Order: sequence, then structure tokens, then C-alpha cells
Amino acid sequence: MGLAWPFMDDERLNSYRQLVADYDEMLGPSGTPEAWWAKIADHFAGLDEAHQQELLSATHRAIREHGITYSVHGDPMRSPRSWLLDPVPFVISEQDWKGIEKGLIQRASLLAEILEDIYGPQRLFREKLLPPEMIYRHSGFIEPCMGFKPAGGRRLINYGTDLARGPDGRMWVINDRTQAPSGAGYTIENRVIMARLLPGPFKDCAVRRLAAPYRNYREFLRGLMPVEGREPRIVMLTPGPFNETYFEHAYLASYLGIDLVQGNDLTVRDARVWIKSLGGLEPVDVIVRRVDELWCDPLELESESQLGVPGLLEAARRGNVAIANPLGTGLLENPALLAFLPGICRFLRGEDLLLPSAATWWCGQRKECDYVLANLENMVIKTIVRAPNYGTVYCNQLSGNELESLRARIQAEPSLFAGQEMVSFSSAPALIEGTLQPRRTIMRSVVMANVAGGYDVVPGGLTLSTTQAEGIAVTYSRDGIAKDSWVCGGDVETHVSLLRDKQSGPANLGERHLPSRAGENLFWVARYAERVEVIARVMRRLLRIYFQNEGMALLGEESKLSAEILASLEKLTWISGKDEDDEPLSLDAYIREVSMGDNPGSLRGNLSSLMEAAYSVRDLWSPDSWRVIGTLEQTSVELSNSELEIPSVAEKIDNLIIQLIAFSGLNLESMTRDTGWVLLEIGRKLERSHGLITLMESFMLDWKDPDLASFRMETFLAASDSLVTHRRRYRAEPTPESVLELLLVDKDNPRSLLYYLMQMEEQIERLPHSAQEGVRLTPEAKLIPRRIADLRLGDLEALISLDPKSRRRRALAEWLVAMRQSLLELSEILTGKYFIHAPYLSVRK
Amino acid sequence: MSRRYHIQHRTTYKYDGTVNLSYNQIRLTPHRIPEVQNPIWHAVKIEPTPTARKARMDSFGNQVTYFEIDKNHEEMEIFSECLVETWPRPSIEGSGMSWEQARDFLRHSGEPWATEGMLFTIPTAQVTMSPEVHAFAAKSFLPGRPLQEAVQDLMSRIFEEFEFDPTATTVSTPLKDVLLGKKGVCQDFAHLAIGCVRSHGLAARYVSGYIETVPPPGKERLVGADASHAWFSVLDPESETWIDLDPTNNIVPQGQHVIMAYGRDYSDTPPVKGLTVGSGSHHLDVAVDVIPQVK
Repeated sequence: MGLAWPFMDDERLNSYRQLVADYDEMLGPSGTPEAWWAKIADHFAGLDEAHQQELLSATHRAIREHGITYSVHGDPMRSPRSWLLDPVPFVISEQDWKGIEKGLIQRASLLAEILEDIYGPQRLFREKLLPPEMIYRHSGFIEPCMGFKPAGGRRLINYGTDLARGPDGRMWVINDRTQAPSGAGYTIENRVIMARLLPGPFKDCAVRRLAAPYRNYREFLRGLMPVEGREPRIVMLTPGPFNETYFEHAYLASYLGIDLVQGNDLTVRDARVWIKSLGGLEPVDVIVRRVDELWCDPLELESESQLGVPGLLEAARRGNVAIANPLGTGLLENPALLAFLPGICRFLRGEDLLLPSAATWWCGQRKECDYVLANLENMVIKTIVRAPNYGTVYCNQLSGNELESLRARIQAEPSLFAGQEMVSFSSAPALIEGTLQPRRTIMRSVVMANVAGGYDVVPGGLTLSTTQAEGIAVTYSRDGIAKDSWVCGGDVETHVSLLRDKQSGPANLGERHLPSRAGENLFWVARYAERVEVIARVMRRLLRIYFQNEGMALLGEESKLSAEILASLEKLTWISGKDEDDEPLSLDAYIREVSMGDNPGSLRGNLSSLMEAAYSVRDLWSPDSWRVIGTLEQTSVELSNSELEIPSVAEKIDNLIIQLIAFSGLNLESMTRDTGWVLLEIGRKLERSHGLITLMESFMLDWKDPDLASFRMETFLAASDSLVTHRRRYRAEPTPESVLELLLVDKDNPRSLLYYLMQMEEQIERLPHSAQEGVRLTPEAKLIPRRIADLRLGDLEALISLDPKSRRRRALAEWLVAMRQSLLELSEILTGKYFIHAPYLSVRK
Repeated sequence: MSRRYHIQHRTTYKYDGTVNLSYNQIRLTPHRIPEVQNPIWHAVKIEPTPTARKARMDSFGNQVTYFEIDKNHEEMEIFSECLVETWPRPSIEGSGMSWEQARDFLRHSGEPWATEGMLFTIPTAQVTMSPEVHAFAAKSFLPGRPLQEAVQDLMSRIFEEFEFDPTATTVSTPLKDVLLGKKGVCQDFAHLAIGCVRSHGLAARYVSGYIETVPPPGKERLVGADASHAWFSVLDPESETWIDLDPTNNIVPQGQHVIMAYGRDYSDTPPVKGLTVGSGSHHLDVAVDVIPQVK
């Protein structure tokens, strides 16, 4: 193999070799790329610079479009870091993988047995295979979990491991992740992108598919808590959009077809878990947990937690809900546990531990502690309690003083520390500045329980490599670059994917409503989108005047009209046209303030609110909708550049309008007509009505200045997107009567108030109702028909007539105030009835 | 000679607004310990009527009852009552194993009493370790001193050097500050003593319960004036038993204490604990009566 390798020109291979410090994945033991690596190296060597560049930018584009992010802890939600993806995959042969897979399954089973023992009979303590002190000191030991078996009987359901190849060429376990391991979602996302970008090599290497374990896992979840007469309700509990791996939670929930919920979407009643949905409380049977266990129940665990559900632990204790992973699994993340696994494995399973881990010593044992202290400069020191200022210390990076102070800390409280031998991990090629360069790598492998009582390992996983050649620590949170991992050379399987697979999914879940919080966010996404659109349309009129005068001071009618447009913008955005000294802002400054300012009422402010609401229901958007949301975000970012000239601002605003139309069009085309869509529609029409009322008040009520009439009507029609409609329908210059008729009572004009109201009426009737409400009209259903009757049965002439003395349409002014009041009431009733979901929780002292 | 106590413990929460829902855990059932104490009867009444009420035994042997109140209410009352018989503790015979030997024996025995005891050797949120705590303890844990002697000395020193002052501390005052201020209440003294014992590698647990209060000579016992009490208990590896010590009163309990709950610290033992949905603030009223019964 590897004979006809174009990259094999000695120069390039030698320069790669020279950079390799230890074992290298591509070079292997022979020093020459073989088998699958040869194919990969071949492929990349065959790419000229232009193709490489194209591949890199395609990768970045894909990441951005898929919205894959990993937020660095503590960062505000809106600046999550984009995932970095190296196009060179990490390659493992099928043969190599079989051994790893077997080892991982053994390890998952062993860890589950350890949990069973510690929360149960504790034989391992009495047999002196595990020091109780070490377990008890770790925050993962949860006393309230003692003595009960989780519903479904499985102790460990989701398991993640960091693997790296040691100098001997064997895969070593670096960390066990057992709380709420991440990686399962990123792994699929990376694969989706890489399979598309490297179709040739992907096919040539006969890469194992990922989907089967996920399908089995979904089956497993459905069987975990059998309920009679209905499909079990499965939800994924996330800490929310501020969590660094929220992207993955949303992605996985959507991939598995389960609801993504936050703590306050759930409630415990009668020691059972319920979801607060738009249709009321509905029972929850299985919770896939992505919240760290200590934060899951403020009654029995961290009392300050706002992420959990009070009473959850009691519900689990009584077997009323299954949690994956069950509470209490975190104790397996104790870094000192590695030291005891080989002995425990022989005792519990009568076999040797298959996967080696780096040699580890717990300092709570005197001999072991002495050894660690004697060899401190070559150790990696880990604390067994997770806390700030603790963590992993590479002693070879410490100064003499730092080393001595670490030594003193270990001596003062030895049982808090574990020492681990420093292992140099293998490197694999990464595409760096146009050449393949070796970078150290670790692989996050994902293991999931299956219905057969065992485990499935996702073939491959998420590989991370260091960005710098000399990097030793690879972490998700700091500077890792992701790679897809390919298990190559297996049998070619039939393609299964949960994304398309229809047969294994339940045919119909029946009456099942959206979580209230999700409904509320959809409602607000629609409202913010409409708010942005109406502001953008009015801005466009203002910009037109601005450009006609090339930024010069305005005179005469134009100046008066621009003052009116300004006044309407003030109402739409709540941004004053005056500065702190009550002096009017220049047109230029006001345009900037409204489009680019930080004010929540500005275009950017509303876009941010839209993003926040959209991101909170990340799992509900189709990939295309999400892509459009991404373009809106991009525009918002571009608008934050204060250097932008006004013509560029105008261009962005034009883009924005197109993007918003695409967004609403997509939702119209691709969303199922469930309650979520109904709320989106109500939100949209509600906000459009508000916008239309404001415009009407700004441009159509006061009629003192006859010279301005045609300008105003044109502006009103344009801002309401009805200029062309009017032209086609009336084939004449606008009159106040024709304009108001078109925008108030023309039910065939999709931009008229009557149209909006009729649409709202229809959707409100589709909202879920409680049994008590029966067939009678609910208060929210009565509001809108009253206003429709005003418009359809009332006297339009009288409504829009001009009061001769004040030159004002007084009847219309009064009616619009009442109309606006009805809309506010509607919003309040909907909020109270469907959205109240975050009751104030307080710990009684 | 046994004694009998009739104990009444009334906890009343008056909320400032309407509470829609509350989640609660109570530990109000006296322990049954052969030759130490025997609850003859006990009952807990809760108003408004709770739902989902269920009792279980936690791993410390405390009976914990969970319940919800799933209706609008402005007030909740928990009234617990029991009649308990207690006996003086049999004195513990021992050759006087030194505390160092005891410490090592605890770690190497592997017997259930020892592995279970190890849970009580670690620092907790309320029993935090510091060089100051260790130094304070070291004056009692002299090299080679028998364990029992060391802990009795520790108890006496806390009693003598510290002033009982309910205004000096709160539930969350750290041990270091208690040590500095030399003031506190029974809970602080128990936590401090536990920290001292644990700082020397031994096992100590928190005990919550009641104690008979003796009114000043010539005065009537005041109704409702008693309170929950707390002390500590040290695992003696030689006899494989726990020895209770009350640093607030400088006594080894001899039947005047009633044991309600054990734990690593106070947070494992509170008689009533809960969360409410709805109103935030409340007024709490606790009335305890420990009435000696004349046989």
C-alpha cells in the first residue's frame, strides 16, 4: 500500500516526519502511511492550493450555516464560539476499532456495576477494593440516591470517554464522562458536514455509518419506562441557551424527536413529573438529563438551583420517572477511580480490564502519595473535588516555586489529590497553512445503552486536536479543533439515518402539546420579526428622502414629511429623535441610532431579541429556517459596525426585508400546522396589526396640510407594502378613502387590518381548550370578532370621516385606540393562559 | 432508671401572600435505639392536608417524610408529637485505644461499621476544614492520648472557652468565624467539635434532637420555650460504637437527650425543609415543649 502516493515525494514526507515527536497515526509503526491513511494523505496531497482553500472555506461555511457552536463558559449567549473543524479526518481501521469497541462496552458495564455497588451493598469498600473516603469526598456521591434503584434498572445510560493513543500504539482512556457527557450531537453534525465535503475519500475508505446506535438508543428510551395506553413522553432537560453545549442539546433533541425543555418547563405533582404544555400539564416518563445532577432538584440537592425541578429526586425514588443518566452517576468522574479499576474489574467481572488508562495513584494512600511526591515533576495532578482553582495541573509546566507550593498542598490534604503519569499522546495530520502537520489528538467516544441490556458504541466519535504543535492538553472549552473520526474498512452497511427513517418512529403521538415556554418563544419570534420588518420599511422611506437630498438639509415639504416619518419611527422604536439636551438629532444620526444603536427598540435591538427567542427553541426550526435565522444574525452583526456609511446601512436594511420575507415564507411552507405554528401566526398578525395602527395614526389622522397628503399616503402605502396593490386595484391616484378602504376593510388585501383580524380569529379557535371551557367562546376568542364586526358592519364613511373643525379623523383615532387596547388584552390573556411557566420558586429558610 | 418525655413540636409558616404549591421534607420521627431510646408513640399532623405524603428511611437511619401541598394557602402548620422513653447509656468499657490507633484502625478494618463510618470523616459545606480548626483540636488530641479522653477534653474546652450567644451566628457562619468569635449556639458547637474530630482523621456525626430543660429553682417550666437541640457523636473504633457528647452543656447524654436525626452536618438533619411556589417571604414560628412524665 501507499506505493503510488503522490505525496510520497521524500521532501514533503520528511518534513512531516521531522515534526512528529512521538507515535503518529498516519505514519504508524512503519514510518510510512499505509492503508486508509494512505488514501487520505493521497487525497490531500492531490489538492492544489486553490482546492484546499475551497475545502477550508466550505468547511467554515458549513459550520456557520449549521450554527454549530460551543460557548466558552461565562460568555454571553450571543457570542458563542463557532466550532472549528479540520477537514482531515481521524482514521481508525475496523480491526483496531473492534478492540476499542469491546473495551468500551466492558468499561461501561463495569462502571454501571460500580454504581450499583456504591449506592447499594458497598462490597467494594469492605473488600478494600475502593477506599470509601475517596468516593465520599467527591461531590458526585449523592447520599439521597442511596438505597433505591432507578426506574428501568439501568445505572449508566450515556457514557463518554476520552481516548488517546499511547506511545505503545494502544488506545488509552484519559477521562470517563458519566454525568451528562457531550459529544453525541457534535459527532453526527461533523459527520454530516465531512461526508458532504469529502465524498470521494468517504466512499473509498468504506467508513462505518453512525446512525444505528442512535436508532437503538431511541428505542431504548421508549422502552425505559413503559406506560399503558400511550407512547411514553420523553424530554431532554437542558440548562438552557447559556450552556456551552446548548447547540448539541437542541440538535440531539431534534434528531431523537423529543422535546427540549428547561427546568421550569417541568413540574412535580403527586411525586410525578409533568410538562407544562400549551394544552395544560401532561405526564413525562423519561428525562434525558443534560443538567449536572447537583442542580437537578433544589429540594434535596443544591437549594439555590434554578435549573432543576423541585421534587424530581422523590419522583425518581418512587420509580415514577426514569432519568438518563440517573442521578448519582457523577461519582464515576472521580479521577482517582482509574487507580482502582483493574482490581475492581477482576473482582466484579472476573476478567481483566481491556482498555488501559494512564497509571494513576490516589494520594489518600500513604505509599502511593509518597510515590507521587517523589516523582512530582513528571506527574499530572488532578483534584478529586471539582472546584475553582482546582483541576488538572501538568507539573512539567510549573516553576520550582509553583511545584513546591503544590507539594505543600498535597501534603496538607493528600486525599484530595490524584497523580497520573504524564503520557504523550499520538499525533495525527491536520491541514495547517496548506500542509499536513502533526497535531496531538484525543477522541471523545460515545457509548449508549441499548434495549438488549448492553451498550452500543458510536463507531467513530469526535476527535479534538491541539491548535499548536507543542500543545499537550486538548480540551473542548479552550483551543481544540474538531475532526471527524472514521472507522474504515468495515462491511458496507445499508444507510440508516434518524433524519430520514420513518419506519422506526411512532406513527402518531396523538394529543401532545408543545411546551409552554417553546410556544411563548415562537410567539415572540414572530412578533420581533414583524417589528423589525415594519421599522425597516419605514426606514426605507426615510432613507429615500435622505438620498434624494444627498444628505443636505431638507426644505419645504420634504422636511415636513421627514419629520412625520421620524415621529412614526419614534412610536415604533421608542427611540427619541432628540439628544440629551432636547436638541433634534441630525437625520444622519437618527438613522444610525434606529438601525445600529444598542437600544432594545432599534432594528438591532429587536433582532437580538428575535435571536434570543429563536435560539431558545433551536430544536424546532428546520435546517433551512435556521439558515435564514443565521443570515439575519449576520446582518445584525454587520449593522453593529459603527464605521458603516449610510448607503451600506440602506443596503443592509434591504437585505433584512428580503431575509424576513424568506423567514416567514419558509415557516408558512415548512411548519406543520400545530399549536406552535398557530402561535407563530397569531404573534405575526398581532404585531402586524400594531404596526399598521401606528402607521395609520402617524400618516392618516391629521389632515391639516393638504400639500402633504399625497406624500403621506404614498409613504403609508409603501410602509404597509400596499403601494402596488393600490395601483392595481384603483388605477388612480390614492385618496384617503381608497387608501383606508384598502388597508382597513379589504379582506382580500393580505396587508389589511381586517385580514389580520380574520386570520387571528381563525387561529385563536385552533388553540387548545380545557374541558371546562366546553363549546362556549373563551374571553380571548371574543375580543377579535367584536373588532371585525366594527369594521364589517359599521359605517366606514363615518369611521374615516374628517372632523371639519380640527381637520382630524377623530372617529378613526378613537377606534384605533380601542383596537390597540383589544390587541394588548389578547396578548395578556394568551400569556396568562398558555405561557405562565416560570413560577417564582423560593427556598424556605 | 428510664425517663419518659412527652414532646410537642409545632412549626408554623405564615406566608406574606398566597402559596400555590409547596414541596417539603420533614424529619420528625424519633429514632428507635435499643437500650437508648424507645418511641412509645408518635404522630405528625399537617395543615392544609398534604398530598403525595410518604415516609422512607435515609442512609443515616432517619425517617424522612416527603409531602406536597398542592392548593392555594397562606399558612402551613406541622404539629409533631411523641412520647419517648430513654435510658442512661451503658458506660463503654475500653482499654483506652489512642486516637492515632483508632484513626488507623478505622481505615483498615474493612468492617461495615468502619466503612460506613468513613462517610463522617470528610469535610462538608458546614464543617469546613482549616489549619485553625486543626490547631484548636490539636490541644485535645495530644499524641498517644486515648480517644475517649481526647474527645471529652475537646467537649469541655468548647464548653469553657465559648459563650452561648444566639445573636452571634447564623446558620451559615463558617467554622473559622465561630472559632474566632468564641460565641455561638448548639449547632455551631456541634459543627466545631465535628470539624476538630475530623481534622484528626476520625469520624464524627451531627446529632439533632431535644433536651430536657430544667427551669430555674422555684419557677414553672415555660410552655413552648424549649427548642431543638444539637450535639455530636464520635465513632469509637475500639468498641465499634458511637459516643455522644454535648458541648453546649458539657455532658455525655445520660437519658436527658432525645435523638431525632443523624447526619454529616446540619443540612442532613433539618426537622422541616421546603420550597414554595408563589409567595416569597414568610414568618416562621417554632414552639417546642419537652415535658418530663412522672411515672
